[in-house]
Amino acid sequence: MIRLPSQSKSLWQDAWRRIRRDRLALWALGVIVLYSLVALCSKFGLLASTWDAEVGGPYASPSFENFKTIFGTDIFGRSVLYKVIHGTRVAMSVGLMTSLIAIPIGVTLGAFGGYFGGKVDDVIVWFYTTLSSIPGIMLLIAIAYILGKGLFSVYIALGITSWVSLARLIRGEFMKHKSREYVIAAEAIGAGHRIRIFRHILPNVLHIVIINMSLQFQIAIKSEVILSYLGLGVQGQPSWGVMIDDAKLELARGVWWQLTAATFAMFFVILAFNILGDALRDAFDPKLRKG
Amino acid sequence: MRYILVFSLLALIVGAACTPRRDIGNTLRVAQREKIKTLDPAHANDFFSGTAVRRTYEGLYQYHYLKRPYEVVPNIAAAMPAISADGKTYTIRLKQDVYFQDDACFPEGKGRRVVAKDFIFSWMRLADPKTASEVWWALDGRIVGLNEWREKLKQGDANSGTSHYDLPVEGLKAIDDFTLEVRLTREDPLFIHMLTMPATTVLAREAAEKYGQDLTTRSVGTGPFVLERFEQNQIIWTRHPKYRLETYPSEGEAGDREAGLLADAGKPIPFVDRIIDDVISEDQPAWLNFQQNNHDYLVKIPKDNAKNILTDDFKPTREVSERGMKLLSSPGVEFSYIAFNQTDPVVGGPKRKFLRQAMSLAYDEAPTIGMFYLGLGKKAESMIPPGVFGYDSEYKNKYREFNVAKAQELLAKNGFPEGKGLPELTYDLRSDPTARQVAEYFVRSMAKIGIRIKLNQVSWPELNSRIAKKQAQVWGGIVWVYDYPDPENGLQLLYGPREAPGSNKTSYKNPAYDVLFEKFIRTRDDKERLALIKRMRSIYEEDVPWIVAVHRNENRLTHSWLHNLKVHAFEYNSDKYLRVDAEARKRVLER
Amino acid sequence: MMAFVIRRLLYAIPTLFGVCLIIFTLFNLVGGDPAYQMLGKHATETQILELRRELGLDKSKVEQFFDYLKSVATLDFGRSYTTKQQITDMIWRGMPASLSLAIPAFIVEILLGLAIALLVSFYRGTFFDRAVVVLCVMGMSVSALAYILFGQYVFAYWLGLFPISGYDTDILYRFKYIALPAIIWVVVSLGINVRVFRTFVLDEVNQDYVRTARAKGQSEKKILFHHVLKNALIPVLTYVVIQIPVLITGSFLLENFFGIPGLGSITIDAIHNSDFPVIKAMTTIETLLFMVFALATDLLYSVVDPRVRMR
Repeated sequence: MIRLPSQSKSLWQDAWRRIRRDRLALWALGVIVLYSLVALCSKFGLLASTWDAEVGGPYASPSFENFKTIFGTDIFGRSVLYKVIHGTRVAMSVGLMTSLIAIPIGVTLGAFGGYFGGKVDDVIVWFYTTLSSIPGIMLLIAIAYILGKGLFSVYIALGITSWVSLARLIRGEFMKHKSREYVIAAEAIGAGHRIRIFRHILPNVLHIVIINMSLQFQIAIKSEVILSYLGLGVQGQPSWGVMIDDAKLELARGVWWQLTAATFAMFFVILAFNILGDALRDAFDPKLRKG
Repeated sequence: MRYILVFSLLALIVGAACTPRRDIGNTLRVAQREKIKTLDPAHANDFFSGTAVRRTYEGLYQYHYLKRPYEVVPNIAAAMPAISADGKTYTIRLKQDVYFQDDACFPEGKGRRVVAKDFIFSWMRLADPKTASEVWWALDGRIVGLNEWREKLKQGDANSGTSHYDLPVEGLKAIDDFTLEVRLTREDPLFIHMLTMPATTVLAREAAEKYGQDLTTRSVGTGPFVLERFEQNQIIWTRHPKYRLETYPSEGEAGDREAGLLADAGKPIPFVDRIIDDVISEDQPAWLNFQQNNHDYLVKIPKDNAKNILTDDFKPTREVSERGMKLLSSPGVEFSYIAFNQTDPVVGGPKRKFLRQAMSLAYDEAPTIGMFYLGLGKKAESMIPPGVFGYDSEYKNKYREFNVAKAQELLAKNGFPEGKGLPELTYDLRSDPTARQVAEYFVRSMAKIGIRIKLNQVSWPELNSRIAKKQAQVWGGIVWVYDYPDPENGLQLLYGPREAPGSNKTSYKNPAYDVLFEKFIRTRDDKERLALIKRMRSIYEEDVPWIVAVHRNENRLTHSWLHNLKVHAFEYNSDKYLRVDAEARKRVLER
Repeated sequence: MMAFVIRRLLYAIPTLFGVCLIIFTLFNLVGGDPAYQMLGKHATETQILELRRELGLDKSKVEQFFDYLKSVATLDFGRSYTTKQQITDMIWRGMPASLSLAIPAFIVEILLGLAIALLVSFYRGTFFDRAVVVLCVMGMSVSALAYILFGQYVFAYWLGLFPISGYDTDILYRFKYIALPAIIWVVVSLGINVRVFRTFVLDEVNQDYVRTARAKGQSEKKILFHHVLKNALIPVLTYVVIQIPVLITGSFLLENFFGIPGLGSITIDAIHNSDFPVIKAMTTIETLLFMVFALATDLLYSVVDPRVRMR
């Protein structure tokens, strides 16, 4: 067993130290943890499991008498608060699943391309250049058509359209790292390609994955809204996209609460991911932050 | 540089706000709620395209604008047809002062007079397989020799130019320039209705030859308006200068005089000089534009705007009355339904009759009318809507009452007590927020008797395709709008031989029903027809191939300066009767 | 230089082929059967067969692929299923509308973004810098749909500052219709631009020549606007060029809500109608434009920075 090179460890420690000193980033992290908890509670039925139940008359405006109607009700008299919470679960799961699909593809292809170079690289670069030449939204639409509608296709469609930027970055890093001393040293003591890629180089470029993920998460959440507007999104359950889609009819009659609730729910989490993403980038790449 | 930027942005805003409104004169401004797909009469098969086609193309007959029940009256024809004793030969006299609009396709650009041969050409064009018309069904199988001509084209060389239009069709003859003789394959009381549709309107051969498929964005018609410009988002029409003398009807149904609908009786139409159609597909801009007086009337009132125009007991709100806006509402000749694919092993066929009955009983219709249709509509008991022969206001469908207990009983009888053992059903619907909310309501209703349903939202054509291929299991949010005011149009929807992809979308098959239907279309006597309708009703009522839902109303919201609007379910081009009080409008706009 | 251009062009060929293959696979192999969709409520089985033959759908997939390649080469995509219009015509008619919204909005968005980026770079590290960056991020965190719904309701209807929707073929009158969607466009994209441009500027600020200039005692203002701006313009220009295809193909949401008859609104209709030839044509055109402009960017780069050619 060959130990991790020590520079990697200090990189992570260093970054964590920086983040801890950044109050804004900590707030952002807190918001994300809170959203994740809400999503998890909703997932396990601890929160808003009764989003489908009527809690008042149709289109009741927000009132503080009952915490269920704090954001008012929708056309069927369902609690907008509960719908927002259920939407949180949908949004977080879209972000997470998209990342889970995109990261392995992006990392593997990027690593192989950067590490092996030559023909392998050519094919991989050809593949992602091709894919990224096609406008993302059209690709999303086409995939949603093919897979049928629903949450599952949203995961897949967003997953397979969003790995390219990650693959590009990872490939670049691998090209830099493969000729570094520590990798050559590992080769000298007999480590094979697999060990060199996954055990040696990968830990040193993993921070890119983290930074990229915080970016990917918010793109996924925003895309869900557009897909829902096009009728290609989540089916049969509330999501922020579906709520905003509903709201485009309601606003003119003065029902502003559904739009507002969904927009703000989205706003805070995307804001948090943006701030955290920036903080992470600065933390791992201190050169930029000075200036 | 920064100052320049800020300044230019400011200039943009100020400039935008200050650009003066151009005087619009005697123009009618309408918001069309969908893109106009085509102006070609052989392809127009939706409401909005039909409306656009009717602006400029005319047929032999039309429906009387004011009279109800709907009555066929002459348009280009000089009088009602002379029908032979066997009911198979129609002799139709044409008006002699009907001219095509001026267009480059005619010699010297001058529109010529319409003759009987033009109709023969137009109908052959509809039959031509190369046209691939969506509305060919209107004449399919009706005229002697027309289907044979179509078959011959299919087999022959398809690229032989247009000479095949010179071949004779047995049943279509121009006796002289202004007399058309049509021979039908059978006695056909519905034929006269076909002659009112956009599909059978008259098109000049010169235009078809010169423009071909480009007729989708141009038009060469005889009607009251001439296309000035066709853009995706805006279509502008101007008055046809050579339009013959047609007058506003001088009779109507009871109440029309009081409603001011006969004030213009006998005056020449059209009243407006220009029509601007703005295509606005989103609800919010459509509603806000109407509120800001940018359109004279509104079609398809967004359901969520109900509260702005109607109070809780469905009376106009104060704001509406103060501004002189009027909500016109009249029963649409249509019904909406939730359908079961009869070839599906889970919900279809006689074995699952109780399941379908249960679902129908568990679906509480009454609240949907307030929720989705502005409270303007009627719960449907059968597929024959009010205003059509055979509508029975007394009739109550056994399985359309709301009765959860009975539903549960029937569900158990079919082997699914409390829904146990029944797989999750799939409900297909069109991607549209309202259709989705209707579906959600259905899902919630079914959940109460333990039936689980998954929604599958697809585009409108995709939904049609899934239904046609019998892939859809349960589907809803679909409305059958009658093509003509005869019960046949609704009853044929369950006729076995017309199963999907034909018009019998549920692929319902019941030999007893089919026999009765075949008898029905041959019957002329009203009493017998009524008896047959009742017998057919008792069959499909029991089988529940679909849950008939609502007869919606057709609604229009108008501004105070618009006159003569009466909601008409078949006359798409009501706009030729409309009068705008331009002065009154100008006063409001300048305020 | 010539060799570089030729090499870069040759590289584009396999990508082009790959793009065609993917688009074809997505739309022809797995897309729906339009014949069922087109004939409407009274269709019969024989009519459907006839229509399929008419549309060339009964040909083998290989033949269909070559038909598609031919349409890409000639840029003739046939006719739309729903409107029966020539797709090429639709595109030529829609493009000016899309551009008349996109060009002013884009120019303002870029210039304003650059100006703010320079300003915050000048005050880098201060509270002002921080605040502007956070503000930008906040602006980016709201869904475009929400901006549109609120913007239209509040500024056009409530305050009556703008027309609610519409478009005018007369270019002078068009501006009043374009103003509000253009402002919303700028608001939606300004945050992203400021952030990106700020990074570009700060990248330059850290370069040696800046230190040298500073050592020579030049004022910070002069350094920023003379030296830094000049060099930062290279990545800015690249960023701008690569976005041009998106401008041409228009914005779905804005065009649809504000009734602008551009390519975005054509595309959204095609999606609602499953009009595959149109979706396919729009995808192809957008992809081709993207490739052309990516190529242009590369060439541009190689002109201003000869080191690129060595790669």
